[in-house]
Amino acid sequence: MLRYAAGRVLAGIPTLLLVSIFIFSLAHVTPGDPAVLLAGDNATPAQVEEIRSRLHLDLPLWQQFGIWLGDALQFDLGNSIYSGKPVTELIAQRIEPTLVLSLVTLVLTVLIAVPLGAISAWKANSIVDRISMGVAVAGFSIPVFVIAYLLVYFFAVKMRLFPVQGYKWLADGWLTTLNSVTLPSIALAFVFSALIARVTRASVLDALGENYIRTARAKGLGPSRILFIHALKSVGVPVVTVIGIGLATLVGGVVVTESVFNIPGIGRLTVDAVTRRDYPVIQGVILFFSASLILINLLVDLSYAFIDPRIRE
Amino acid sequence: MTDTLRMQTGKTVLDVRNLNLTFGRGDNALHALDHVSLSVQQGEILSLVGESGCGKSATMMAILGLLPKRAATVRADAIRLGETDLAGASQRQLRRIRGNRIGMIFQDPMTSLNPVHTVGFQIGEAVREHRGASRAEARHQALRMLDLVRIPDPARRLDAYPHELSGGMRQRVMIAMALVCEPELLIADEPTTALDVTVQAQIMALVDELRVEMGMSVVLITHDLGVVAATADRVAVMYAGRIVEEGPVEQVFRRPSHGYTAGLMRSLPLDGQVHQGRLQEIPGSVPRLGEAAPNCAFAPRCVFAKPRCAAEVPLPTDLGGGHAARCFEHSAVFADLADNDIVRAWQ
Ligand SMILES: Nc1ncnc2c1ncn2[C@@H]1O[C@H](COP(=O)(O)OP(=O)(O)O)[C@@H](O)[C@H]1O
Ligand SMILES: [Mg+2]
Repeated sequence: MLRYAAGRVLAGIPTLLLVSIFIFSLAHVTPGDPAVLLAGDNATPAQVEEIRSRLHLDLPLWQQFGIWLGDALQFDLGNSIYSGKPVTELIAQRIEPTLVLSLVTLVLTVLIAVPLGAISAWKANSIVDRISMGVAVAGFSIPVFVIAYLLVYFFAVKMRLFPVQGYKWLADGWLTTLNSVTLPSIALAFVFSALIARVTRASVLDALGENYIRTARAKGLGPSRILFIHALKSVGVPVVTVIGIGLATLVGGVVVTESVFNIPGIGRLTVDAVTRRDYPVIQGVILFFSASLILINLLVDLSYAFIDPRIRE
Repeated sequence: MTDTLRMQTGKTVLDVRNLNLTFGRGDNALHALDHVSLSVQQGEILSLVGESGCGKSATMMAILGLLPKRAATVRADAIRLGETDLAGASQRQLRRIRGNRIGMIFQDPMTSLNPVHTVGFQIGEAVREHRGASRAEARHQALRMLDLVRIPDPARRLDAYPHELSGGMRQRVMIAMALVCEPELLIADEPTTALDVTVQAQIMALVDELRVEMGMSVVLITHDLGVVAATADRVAVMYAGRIVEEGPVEQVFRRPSHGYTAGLMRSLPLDGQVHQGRLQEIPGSVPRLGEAAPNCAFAPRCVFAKPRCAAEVPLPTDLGGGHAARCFEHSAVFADLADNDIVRAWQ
């Protein structure tokens, strides 16, 4: 078990290195001289040169990469071109809303999609199955911002159950926080659930045909034990995998959702940085998202061993 | 045989009358079972023998209500377990029977256990379901059962996962699981087919010992007449969804009275060695029937067949001592086999 875990952690390192190289080269393959860009319109050539050497832009690329990586390892991702603040500080300020939004979405999705997929499999081809899979397909094909605006219109504007936009910080009480992320989380969960419900349904349907399900039935177990304790547990690996994949695709959804609901999270930070061509911040958020994905992958891998005893060796 | 160990009290544990089973509907319908009648007395081993696809498993699944409702149509005059009527029972009532009053083990121990639960958990489940036992009590019962099925170091095995055990061990776990509620009937569906020859004998010996210890009855499904000769009290020979011959093992071996039984006897080697698939040595193949055959389904493959066999359904002929065969030519069959070595060995 420990060896497996250590192996999975080590496997993440080359990935992170590759991502770093990619992020680093990003700023250097995009057109335009960053030094000129940074110096602004009225800068003298001397000022441009000064910036160039301060940012080590005059050194060979591999040396620049070395310096950048060394700094990154010490959580120094440079300063924002726009505000001059350290990138790590900007990200740290924005983590909470994104984390809360993602976690609430994840919990909501797992609570809805997994049982829905399992019940659809149990009642395969019934009305229940058709309706829930129909909704799942709809969730998959409607863009997240459309769902977001529909939710806002009905539940915030018409029924006034939730705020139209904005985020309440945890420091001001977690209940108001939860209230403020309910609609964005539902919008995201709608999209995210589709994939998970379908994969759960397909996996459980397969599992229900297995011999050990026949054994469980011959034991006299009831439908819910057979479905949840025997069929669902045995398909934990594919289901957790697709939850991981879903979390990865959630990143795009978070950026859109945070913009629609005006939530000051990493997604908004990304959008702002991109519109201002604030390269250090862009690099920082990409690195942040990549590291999160690698972490998610690691958690998924570790959960395999937790779910399936055959993987532990 | 071990006649002194038999505890026949004449009490009928399982009684099945005219069980009919059809899979699908219309043109795709498959008439899988035709007027199957069986009875199992207390303490005895009834063996159901026949080649693959003849309907042995389907018979047992129909009795337990385990066939898919949508695909399978089951009709029976009666299916009785002791005083309980199973034919008219609801799924909920059947659930209280399964794993409680009837235990079942299957052919493939490698895939019949859930890979993600410990064997202790899986054995204990039935006690929790049927007896409302606590987790600790279920664990205690599982431990007792592992010991009973002669698994060495049972306390350690309790927390093992199926993949950590050999095929023979897994089949012992299956037996422990089927017997944990001390059922009056054990249905063993080809329990040794997937196992090594040496392990096969151990498992059969274990089933027989437990039958005596727990005073239960056994339906042993097999396609191996050698296993029948070695373990069963009575035998029912099945062909294409019908019981074609039935009786006490000695009677049937002494006086085989159906063309199909005769074919099985001829292909049985005298050395008692197990040879997989030897029933297929009778030329021809099992017919697939859309509806009940209007004749003897074995007629096309039968060396004794007369024109009448292809035209009429033979009804069971009583041959005395609980022995019956659905064969017009039963006298000719027996006459032909009278000097067969196996038949003579049983005389
Ligand atoms: N769920 C099912 N749907 C359709 N046909 C089935 C089903 N289960 C069994 N059958 C058919 O019923 C017949 C008897 O099968 P079975 O009882 O499994 O034979 P065996 O004697 O080998 O145990 C076979 O022809 C098989 O194809
Ligand atoms: Mg079978």
